[in-house]
Amino acid sequence: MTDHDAKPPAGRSLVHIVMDPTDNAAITNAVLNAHDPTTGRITLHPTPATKGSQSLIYDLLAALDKPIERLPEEKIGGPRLQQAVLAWLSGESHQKIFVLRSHLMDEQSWATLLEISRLIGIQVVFIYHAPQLSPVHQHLLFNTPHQITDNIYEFLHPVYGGEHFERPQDTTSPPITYVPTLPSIDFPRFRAEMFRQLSTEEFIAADTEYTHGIETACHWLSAHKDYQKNTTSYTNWHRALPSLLTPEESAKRAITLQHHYTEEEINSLSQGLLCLGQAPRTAGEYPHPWRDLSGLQVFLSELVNTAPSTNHTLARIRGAQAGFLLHGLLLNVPTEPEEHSGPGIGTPLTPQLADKIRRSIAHPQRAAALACALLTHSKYVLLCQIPVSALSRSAHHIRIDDQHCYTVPPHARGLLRAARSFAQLHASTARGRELLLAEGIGRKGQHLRASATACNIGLNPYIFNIYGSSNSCWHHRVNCWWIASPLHGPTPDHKSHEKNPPIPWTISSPPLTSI
Amino acid sequence: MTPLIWDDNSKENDHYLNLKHAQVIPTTGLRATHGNMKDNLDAKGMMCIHGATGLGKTLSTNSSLRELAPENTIRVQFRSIPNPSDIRTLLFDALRISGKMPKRAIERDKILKEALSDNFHVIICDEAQWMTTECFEYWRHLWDDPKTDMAIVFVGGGDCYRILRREPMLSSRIFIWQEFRPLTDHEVITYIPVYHPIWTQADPEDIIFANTHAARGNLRAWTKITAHTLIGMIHAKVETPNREILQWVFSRLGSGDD
Repeated sequence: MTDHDAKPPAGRSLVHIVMDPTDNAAITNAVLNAHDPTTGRITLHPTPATKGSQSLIYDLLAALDKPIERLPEEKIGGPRLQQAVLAWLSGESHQKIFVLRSHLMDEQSWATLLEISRLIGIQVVFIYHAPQLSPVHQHLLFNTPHQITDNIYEFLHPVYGGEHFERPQDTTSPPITYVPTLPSIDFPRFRAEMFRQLSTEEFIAADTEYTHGIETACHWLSAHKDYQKNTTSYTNWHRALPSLLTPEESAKRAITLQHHYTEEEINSLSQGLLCLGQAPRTAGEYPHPWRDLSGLQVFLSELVNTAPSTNHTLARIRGAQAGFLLHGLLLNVPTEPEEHSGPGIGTPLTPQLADKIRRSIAHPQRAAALACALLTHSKYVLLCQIPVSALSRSAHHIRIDDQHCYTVPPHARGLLRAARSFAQLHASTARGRELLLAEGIGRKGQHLRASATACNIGLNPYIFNIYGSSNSCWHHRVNCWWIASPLHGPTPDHKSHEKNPPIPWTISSPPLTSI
Repeated sequence: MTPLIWDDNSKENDHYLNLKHAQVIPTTGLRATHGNMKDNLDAKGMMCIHGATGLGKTLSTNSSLRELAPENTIRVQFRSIPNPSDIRTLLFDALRISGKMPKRAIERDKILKEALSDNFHVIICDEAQWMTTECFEYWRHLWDDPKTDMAIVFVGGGDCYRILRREPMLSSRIFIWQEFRPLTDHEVITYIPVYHPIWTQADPEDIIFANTHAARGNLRAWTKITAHTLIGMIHAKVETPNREILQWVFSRLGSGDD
C-alpha cells in the first residue's frame, strides 16, 4: 500500500536545481524518459515561445496526460485550472516534477511552480540548461529552501511502485479466462449444476473463480474480529476426545496417544482431525445475525471488483457463500444478482478503463464520477449526494447513501482523491457539506453522460433512472447469519491457517450435491 | 515576408536557372552529403550542412533525399526572420493535417507531435541562418519529444555555421556538421565536362581559365557561365567554347581579371 500522504522529512528541501550548462541532449533525454505518472514522476516539457502561469498550467495538464482540448467543454478555466492541477497532482500522489528548459521560464512560471511545491509538498526539480542562474531566478529562490547540483541521476529513480499499476497486477485474483453463462441457482447446488451443464474447460474456468470466492472468504473471516470473538481455541487436546467415552476410557486413550506422540504432535493431529474447528462461544444459540454488514458489503465489493465479467462475479459470489457456510455462516445473496446493479455487474472498472478515464477527462470530479458510476452502478442522484466525508482518507472505501459501502480498487483511488482535493479547493457546497461528485455529474446527469461518451463507455441505463428504488444493488440486499459451528479452518490465528491451507477443490474430486 | 513551404522535389528544379541538360555531378560534397544524410536518417539525428552560397548544398541535399526519403521529406525555407508560430503554421500545412488549427500553441503542438509520430519524417530547413534562437528552441522541442519520429537537416550559407554553433542546445544535438567548400581545380577538370555537354569537348585549359577568372569553384557561378557560354556559342556558331566566348561571358557577368 502506498503512503500517498508522505511528505519529505522536515528540513529536506522540495526544490532542486540541476545545472546543465552545456544543454546536454543526454540529460534532456534521460529526464523525458523518466516521465512515468505510475511511479510518481512527471516531466514538464514546456511549450516553446509561451509565457505566463496559464501557459504553464496548460503544460502541466498536458504532462499529466489530460485532454487540454476538452477544458472549455468541461468548464475548467481561470483559477480552476490551477485547482485542477493541484487536485490531480495531490490526488494521484505524484511525488516529483521535472521541469525542463527552466532557464527560459519567466518569473511568473517559476513562482507558480514554487507555490505548487509548497502547497502540496511535491518535489520540483528544475533542469537549468545554462551555466548559471539568472538574477531573476536567484531572487525567486532567495526565501525558498533549495539545493543546487549537477547530478541529474540522483533524481531519476522511481519514487514508489504506484498503486494503480502495480507489477504484477493484483496477484490474488485468478488469471483471466472466459467464463460462460452460469446456472441460475443458489449456492448449495451451484457447483454441482455447473459441473452438469458446462463443458470440462468451461467448468475449470468457472470453478477457478468459485474457488477464489471460497478462499477469499476464508481469509477474510479468519482475520475478522467478529469471527474471532465467536470462536475459541482448544488449548487442551483432552477436551477434543469424543464425549461419549467414559473418563477411564478417555484416560487410556490419552496414555496410548502420549506413548506414541509428543504433546505438540497430538495437538496438531487433533486440530487437523477436527478441521481446526472450534466450538463457538454461542454454540446452541443459533441462529444469530452477523453484525458487520458494512464490512460484509466492503468484502463483497472487493471480491468482485476485479471480476472481468458478470459471470465471473456470480461464480465468486457463490464460492464466497460456500466459504461462509464452511465457517458456520449463511450468507444470503439475491439468487440472480445480475438482475440487480452493483459491483461486478455490467462494465467493470478495470485498470485499463480507469486509465482511459484519466486520459479522456480533465475535470477531476467528472472523471471520478464516471469511475464511481462504473464501480457502484448507483443512480446518479445518489452519487450527487455523496459528501467528501464519505470517502475514506486513503480512498480505499466510499460510502453511498450513508450506509452502503464499496471498496475502491487501487487503480481508481487516485481518481477519487483528486475529486476530493478539487471539491475542497473549489468548495462545492450544498447544505453545508462539500460534495464529492455533484459538479462532475450535473443536475440531470448530463456531465456524466458526456464523460461516458468522451470515454466511449456505455453506462447502465439504470443509473439515469430517477424513479424506482434506489436500493437495488445486489450487495445491499445481502444478509448473514451464524447458523452452526465452523466446519473448516482457519483458527483465529491467521498464521495457523497458512500452515493448514483449505482443502483444495479440484475437478477430480466428485462435486458434492451440496456445496 | 511570409515563410514558404518548398517541397518541389522534381529534378528539373535542382539546377540553378533550371539549366537544361545540366547533370548532377558526383562531387566530393555531394558524395559526402549522401553518406552523411544516410547516417543522419538512420540515427534520426540533426545535421547541419553549411558553406558559402552556390556550392551545391541544396542540390546535394535534394538529390540525396530523393533517393533516401522520397516520400517523407518536408522542405522548409524562410526568406525572412520567422518565429515559432510561423513554423507551426508551416508544419500544419506541410503535414496536411485536416481540421481547423487550434488557437493555443500547446494544442497545435499536440496535434503536430501526433502527426510527426505517425511516420518518420525528414525536415529540411533551408537558409537556416535566418532562424532565431526561439526557432531553434522549437525545433529542439519537437525533436527531443519521445513520441516524434524525425530527423532534421539545417542547410545554410553565410553565417549558418557560426549561428548554429553558438546555440548550446544545438551543439550537443547536431550529429553531423558538413562544410561545403569550393571545387578544387582537379574537381573542376574532372566534373565540369560531365556537368554539361558544352564542356565535354572543351579544352581543359579553357575550363581552368573560366574557373580561375570567374567561377572560382562555385557551382552556381558555373551554371551562369554555362548558360551564357551556350548563348555565345549559338551566336558564334561554334561547337566548343573558346577564350573569346569566355571573355564575352565574363563581360556579361561583371567578372574576369582586368
